[in-house]
Amino acid sequence: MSERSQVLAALASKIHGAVAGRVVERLLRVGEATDEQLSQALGVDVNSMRRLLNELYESRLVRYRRVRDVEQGWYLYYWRVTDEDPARILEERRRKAVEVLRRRLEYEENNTFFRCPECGRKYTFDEIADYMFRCPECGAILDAVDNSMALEKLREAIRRLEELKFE
Amino acid sequence: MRSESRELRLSEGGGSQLERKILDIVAASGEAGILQRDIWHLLNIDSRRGSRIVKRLERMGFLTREVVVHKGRRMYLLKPTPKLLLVPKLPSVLDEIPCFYCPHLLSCSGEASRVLNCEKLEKWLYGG
Repeated sequence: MSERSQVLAALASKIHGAVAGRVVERLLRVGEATDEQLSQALGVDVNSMRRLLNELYESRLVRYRRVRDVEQGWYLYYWRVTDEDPARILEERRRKAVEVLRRRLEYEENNTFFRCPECGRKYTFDEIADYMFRCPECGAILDAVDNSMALEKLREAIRRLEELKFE
Repeated sequence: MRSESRELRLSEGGGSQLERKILDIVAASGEAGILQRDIWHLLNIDSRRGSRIVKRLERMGFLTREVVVHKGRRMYLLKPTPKLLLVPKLPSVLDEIPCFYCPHLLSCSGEASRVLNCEKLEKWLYGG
């Protein structure tokens, strides 16, 4: 497997933890392995390994092929690292992260927020207008939330993500 | 409608393994490049199938094909493009931004309510 794919092990580790990084590293080295083989090689119980492989699959970092064991009748799953171009995977994540942060920015820009000093719950203006600005849960008078720092953080994060280029 | 760039993804399934192998060989050949014919021998594939894959990889910008004359015969010399040789890195700025490394990113971006109620994002924005 090429040097380009090594970034996938680092990415897996950042997203799903150190063991996930080791799983991807091993798959890059051996090409293909079953969940049981990976479990033995890395000293992780097989159920945790299956859960981890499913998470890696959800993040599109690994793929599998399913083969029916003729003697035992159940399915064997052979896992391998995704065939997608690593740069494309990173680019897709960058794009999605921008999408998420933009949506949150729009929400923060278009709403006025209030927080309960007692229970810490946060409300929009529309949610508490009918409650005379008292917390619907505990009755405390709500404080207005200054979200100017949050807006700045979001704008800066979006700007920095938009400057990145993976492809 | 699927976009052009999506159509030019590395293919899925059996063909993709071959694409990866070809890309690895071409990348390893460096500036000197490698004759297309030599790849068929290394991977034990027929030229018809291989040519189709190589043309596709050329369209995707991973390699170039130059016509050269070798021992009196015209053939293709494949060379890696900068795109293929570029090793993707994880810039440190990504550590400071939530979402990029979030395990829920791919599912979250499709659901507005998750974005608005995300505890991780809330903590990053307002601390606490």
